[in-house]
Amino acid sequence: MQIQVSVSDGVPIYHQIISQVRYLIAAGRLQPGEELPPIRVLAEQLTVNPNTVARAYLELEHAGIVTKRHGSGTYVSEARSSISQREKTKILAKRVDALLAEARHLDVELNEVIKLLREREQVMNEEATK
Amino acid sequence: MHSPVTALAWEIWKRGRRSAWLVMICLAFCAFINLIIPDTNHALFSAVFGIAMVLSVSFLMGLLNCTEASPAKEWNGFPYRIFTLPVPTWKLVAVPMVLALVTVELLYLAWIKLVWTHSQIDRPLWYAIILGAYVLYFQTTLWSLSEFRILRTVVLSIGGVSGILVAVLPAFEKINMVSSPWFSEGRLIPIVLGTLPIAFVTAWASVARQRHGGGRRGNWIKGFVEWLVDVLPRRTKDFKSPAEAQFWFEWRRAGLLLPACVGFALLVVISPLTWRFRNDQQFTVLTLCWVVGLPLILGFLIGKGFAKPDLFSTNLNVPQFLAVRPLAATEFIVAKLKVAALSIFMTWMLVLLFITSWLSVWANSVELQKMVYQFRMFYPNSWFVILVLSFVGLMVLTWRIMVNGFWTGLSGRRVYYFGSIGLQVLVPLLLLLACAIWSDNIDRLLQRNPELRKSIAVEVLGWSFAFLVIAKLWIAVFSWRNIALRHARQYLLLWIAFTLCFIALAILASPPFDVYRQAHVYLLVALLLFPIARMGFAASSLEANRHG
Amino acid sequence: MKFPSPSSAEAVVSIANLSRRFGSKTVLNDVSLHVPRGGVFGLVGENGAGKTTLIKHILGLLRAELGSVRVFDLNPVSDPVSVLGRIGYLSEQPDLPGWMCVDELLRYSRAFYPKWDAAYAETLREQFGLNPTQRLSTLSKGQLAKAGLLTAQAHRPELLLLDEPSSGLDPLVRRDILEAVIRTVADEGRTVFFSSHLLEEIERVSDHIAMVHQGRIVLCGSLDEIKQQHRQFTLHFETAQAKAPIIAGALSISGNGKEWSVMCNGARNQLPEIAAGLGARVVDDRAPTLNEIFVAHAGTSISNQPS
Repeated sequence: MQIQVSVSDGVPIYHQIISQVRYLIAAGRLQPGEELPPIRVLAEQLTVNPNTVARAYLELEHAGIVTKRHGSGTYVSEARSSISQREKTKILAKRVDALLAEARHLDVELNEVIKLLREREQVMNEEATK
Repeated sequence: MHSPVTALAWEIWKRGRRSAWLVMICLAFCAFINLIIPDTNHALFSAVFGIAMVLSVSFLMGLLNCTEASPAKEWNGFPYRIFTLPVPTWKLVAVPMVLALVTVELLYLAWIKLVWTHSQIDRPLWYAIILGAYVLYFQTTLWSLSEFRILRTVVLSIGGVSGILVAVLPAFEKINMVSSPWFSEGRLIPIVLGTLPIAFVTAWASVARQRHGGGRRGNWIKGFVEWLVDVLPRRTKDFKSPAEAQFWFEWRRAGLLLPACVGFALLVVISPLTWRFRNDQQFTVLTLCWVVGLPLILGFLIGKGFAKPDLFSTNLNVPQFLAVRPLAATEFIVAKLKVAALSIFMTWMLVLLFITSWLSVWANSVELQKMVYQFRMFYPNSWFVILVLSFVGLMVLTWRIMVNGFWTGLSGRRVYYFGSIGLQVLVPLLLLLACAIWSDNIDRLLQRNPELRKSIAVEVLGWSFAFLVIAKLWIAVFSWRNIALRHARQYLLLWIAFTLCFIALAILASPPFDVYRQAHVYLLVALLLFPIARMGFAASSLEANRHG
Repeated sequence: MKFPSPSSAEAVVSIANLSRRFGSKTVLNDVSLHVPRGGVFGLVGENGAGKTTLIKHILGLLRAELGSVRVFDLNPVSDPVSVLGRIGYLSEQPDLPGWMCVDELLRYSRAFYPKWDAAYAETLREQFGLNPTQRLSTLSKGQLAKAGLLTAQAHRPELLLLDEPSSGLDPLVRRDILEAVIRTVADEGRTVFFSSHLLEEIERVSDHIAMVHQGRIVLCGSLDEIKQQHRQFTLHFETAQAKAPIIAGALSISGNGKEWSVMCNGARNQLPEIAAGLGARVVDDRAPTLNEIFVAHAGTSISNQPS
């Protein structure tokens, strides 16, 4: 699993791990049922504190994206996310807020943002089908 | 600073200015005394002046040695950082040499003119030249042999001693027995002067080689030495305990130093001399004394290095690598003591081997055999035991000389260490010089009433030794109170065993007709021989050093 | 999730009110900190702030003049054998004796630590590429650091103490050191105490950090808390400011003209109002990097650049 983290992003490291894992799953590079690297191994690979990786895995587990089988590691969830619709909306709403705030600071119109959303979805679909 | 030469000279001056001021104050003080004392007492003070002058000159030479140490590469030679300056090598070498020469000669001149105003020194020119040559050779050795530090120490010590011998050569010119036309000033001065440019060229060549990366020949020698060390059987087993590991560490560091120095001296210096003078009877006795004294002298010198936490540097702090070892301070000391003991044992075995082979094979031992015969007459039953015990006593004495200074060096305080060295050098020197200066007075005093003098001397010695024994035991009790019981017990056993040996020796060796009752003096000396008092302080001073 | 709050019973190292002077210079001034078991504790500070002195106190190489130092609930000065036997130490310049060769160094060190794992040491030696018969004086600086790291790690110490280990080393060796840190802390119950001024490294691997400035501790706590507390704002003023605006509660202010960066420590809620009061609006609001926090605490609090 190839991911990179950087401390100068301003984004916490565990956050970066979570979003990259999510991206990999969405782009199909991590299949459902596939095993994620053990915490220790990933920590050594990224040279970050194992606690950080543990936290990232924990949050991914809470979000239902991965499941931890006791004693044998962490796997990408087979089933779809089992969180309620309200929870999903809440999670996404936070992201949308950040995106809108950013767009406002950069003085980008809402139409442009929507257009960008459609373009990026297309790119993701193309990657998934490769 | 307008020129490189002045800059270099200024740096040397700046580095040593405190010591230079000390030397000048000493000189001024002696000059002042010289002015105020009346004319008749000059002979008395000349001893003091002599010592002060020798000390100040040695001090000056010590501070003019212009080397810098690089601990990582274990280098102690010409300051490496100066090589990057845009100055040709001959200038870099010439500036410290000329500066040293000029300073020493000026100091000598100042002493002659200000202090020795009643021309008590004969042959002043000869001494001036010898001093200059000394300084130049000293610097040359320091720079040329900077990669072979053990060899350098050996050469410096031997060179120092032979330098003193050469310096007094002209005195023998008048003595008919060993006179030779080569000992006259007229011949010696040009010879010495002639060797000075050789010294300069040697220094120049070695520094130039060091500047440009070592050169092939140097590397070849070093490579050979390293190959030798690698090829020698090395330890491949694991250590059974931390104490064993530490013993190995200390042994690798310094264990073979004393045997190597003594072996080298015996092989290179003494053996050729014994061959040259193999038909000389008096020579045998004299050389035997020297050979027996050699381990003691070298043990003293090497013991000064042994007393430091790190043998080869003047830094008295415990090196971090050792300070972080999970080993108690007492264990460090025990490792050092054991290494010293083994080293001394090997040295004396070497000396014994040399003496037996020399005396039996090619020495003229007529005189010696007469003395041995008298000795056996004196002690008909116990002469062999006395010999063996004396041999043990010599070994213990060497060991004592090596390890007694532990508490000064390991304490990490330069005052204690250099102060103790100063005292140990100063006091015997003063006594020797006093005896030499007042030898006539002493002779006359002794001749007047020999028996009375002897008995008073014995009384005085007896009382002072008794006092010393009591002091020793009290200090031992005080200093050993913090040491672990196990170590204290082991050491006490050692002390008792050896002291009993020496008491036996004292009893056997006391003369049968004891008119002056010297026996108790011998007994007291036996009690004083094995070190115990100051050893107790060694562990606590190492701890204080290690824990800042 | 392991975010232990340190009680002194759990703490591997407890330092209380430690002060130290060298001559007339006060190097440590009333320093107190607790290093909890089982995490990475990062110590940051500028050169000369007192980090090495603090570490020497932990090792027992300096006696505590004022205050107390306890390691594994023992005094490192009075009981050096027990304390040092459980610590692995790597310093900036590993003072390894040059005359030894690599396998002699390993054999010598092994005798002192009963928990030495020879197989692990051998694995590490091969991984680091150290030739056993090579003399230590012929090793490069990076290889020396690796040799020191090997001796520090091979007995799986309870406390791995690193004093600016990466200074002057190439990225490969630095990576090896960081991997050693992570491997140590991944084992339950083992702790790492890591002092460095490569803040990027500290930020990656630390659980807790402490910051030393001129002999005092100016920050101490878990890394997450510290990063949450600090916030970097960018203020946009309507009119260009000739000199830095005075903002109460700001840690550091820098910039020129109309745009000024303000670093706050915990006063993030009041800042928009204060800014509005001064005629500015907040245009950016982000979490600062450790580097920026460090500079804000250690550097001058107001810096002015000529416009």
